[in-house]
Amino acid sequence: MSALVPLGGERSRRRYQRSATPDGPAPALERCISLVKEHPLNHAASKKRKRKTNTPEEPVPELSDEIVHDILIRLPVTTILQCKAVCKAWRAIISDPLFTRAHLRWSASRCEQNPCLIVSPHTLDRVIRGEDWPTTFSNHIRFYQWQQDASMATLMHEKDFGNEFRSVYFFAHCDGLVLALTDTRLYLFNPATRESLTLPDSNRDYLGPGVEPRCCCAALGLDPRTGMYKVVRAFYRSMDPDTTMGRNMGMEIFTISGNGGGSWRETMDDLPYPAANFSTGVTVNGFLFWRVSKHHRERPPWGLLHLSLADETFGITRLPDSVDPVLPNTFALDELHGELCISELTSEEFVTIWTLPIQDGAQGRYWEQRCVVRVCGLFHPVAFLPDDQIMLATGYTISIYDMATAKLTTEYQMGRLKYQGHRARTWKNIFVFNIQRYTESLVRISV
Amino acid sequence: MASAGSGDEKAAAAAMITLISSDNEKFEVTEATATLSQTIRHMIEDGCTDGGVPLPNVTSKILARVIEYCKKHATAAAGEEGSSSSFSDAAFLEVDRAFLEELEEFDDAFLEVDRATLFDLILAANYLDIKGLLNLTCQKVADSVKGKTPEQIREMYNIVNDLTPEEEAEIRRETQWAFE
Repeated sequence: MSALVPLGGERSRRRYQRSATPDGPAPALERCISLVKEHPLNHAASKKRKRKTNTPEEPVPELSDEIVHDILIRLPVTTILQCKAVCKAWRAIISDPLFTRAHLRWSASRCEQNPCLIVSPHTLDRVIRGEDWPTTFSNHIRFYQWQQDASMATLMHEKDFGNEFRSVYFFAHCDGLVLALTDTRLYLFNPATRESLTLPDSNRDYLGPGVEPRCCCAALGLDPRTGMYKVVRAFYRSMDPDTTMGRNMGMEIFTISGNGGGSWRETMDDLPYPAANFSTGVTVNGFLFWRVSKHHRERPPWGLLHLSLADETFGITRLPDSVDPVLPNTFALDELHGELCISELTSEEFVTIWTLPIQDGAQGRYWEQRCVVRVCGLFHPVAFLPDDQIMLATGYTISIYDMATAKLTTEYQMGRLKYQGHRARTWKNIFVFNIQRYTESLVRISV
Repeated sequence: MASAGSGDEKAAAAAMITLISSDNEKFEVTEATATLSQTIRHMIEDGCTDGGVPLPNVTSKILARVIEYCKKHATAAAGEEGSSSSFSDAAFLEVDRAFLEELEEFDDAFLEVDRATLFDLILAANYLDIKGLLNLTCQKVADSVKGKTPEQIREMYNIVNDLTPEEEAEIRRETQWAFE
């Protein structure tokens, strides 16, 4: 065979065709991305008919859109946002939704060895003793990025909401987006691009004058069928007059369409069992998971409530036999390396970590017991690290636990870290730190 | 006693392939080296390598560099296969680590080239479908762009700004903080 058959797939074929006709007109998109080596004038510009520059004598190396794409996905979000202003072709490459997906995959794989964390310190404006959960949270939301061994947590984004809410709950995360749950509103952020969106108030919450059994139960996830992000929140249709607790829970969905508009719409499917109030759902592989409520007349199922984001149907995902679904403070619910994860407090000093891969139907075949960690109290596992270590987070600390020696090797007090732009050595009236594993992304939430 | 299977494997490892550059220079390489290129691997599988493999997109200067890379990394791949068998004692791990360090040093030195050569290497790696080399070279360009302003990037790579002033102002306005 005399000529090389381009077997490397679409890539080499396109490259092959391009180099076979070096003087042919460049496709519109590729005009300006030629990165020229010798000629002082831009080669691509010379290709434009309206410019009467001479054609360079020898063919110059030209990087296709695909290669420029492969180069740009390796950059941090801030640099990528700047690169949009380089030329039209770069702007087009970066604005393509497929670029956002490719960048996200790259960003996630880069953090595999050394996980990146997003940290939001929550302070109280004043301390009221005796409250179950404070009602004096600061309305100033801050997002810091931190990696183990970094000398400082870098500020990504901050926003002040005046006096819009009184309490903050645990944040939900998906693909670099953060859903902040408060007692009044839901806020969606992309801290890396500094976009934020206040979700519209829902009219399904109104139960009557002076009635306040608010439902603070929500989650965020990606609908794999449409590629759209969905925020799901629960509401109560009525109230039990004796206990003043909400009854007859329903759920509604807000699709993040990217045009800033939209409204809440109720799910067609009925909940098989209500979710626990004040619980933040976890997303894995196109499904959302919540703990079930313990305040319900029927006996709770031995499992978690789940919602498929693709077909918007509910179901129950079975829990390991030893994990009581409604006993308080016995387990933590997380996403860990793309699987659903339960950390079960098995005794005063042991926590068992279970994981469940989620495929179609949200019924993984069985829970796998991954490891037993010997520590005091519950935590959220953040990541498995190389050399048989695991990173754990509580509301105040991040620790590294060595499974071989069954010991905590390192512990970081979040209150003592250095925070960019925060001069004081400590946070005044700190209540808790929202800590999550984080992958920065270009995912858009508004225009 | 060597089995027939391992004899075949030895023969395959020693098999030579001829690569022909765009300026008609011939390079003899082992099959193990050549098959780091998926493009060439497929050709070998299809039995189209008799009489040499013409590479009309790659000059002899660049092909020589690409082969240098492949030789080094083919040895590394062979070393990994050998050590992953059943040995895991400290001495072997130490050897592995030293070898990986050496490989990293090789890669760093390999990338010490001018921009034009770097771009030619990217194009060759893309054309020949050599994932490791494409990754390495693209990362090098990405690192050079990191932290630069659009003006600096345009200057570095002779890119003409074909955005209208209005378009550019719009991009800057959208995420003004990123440009500060």
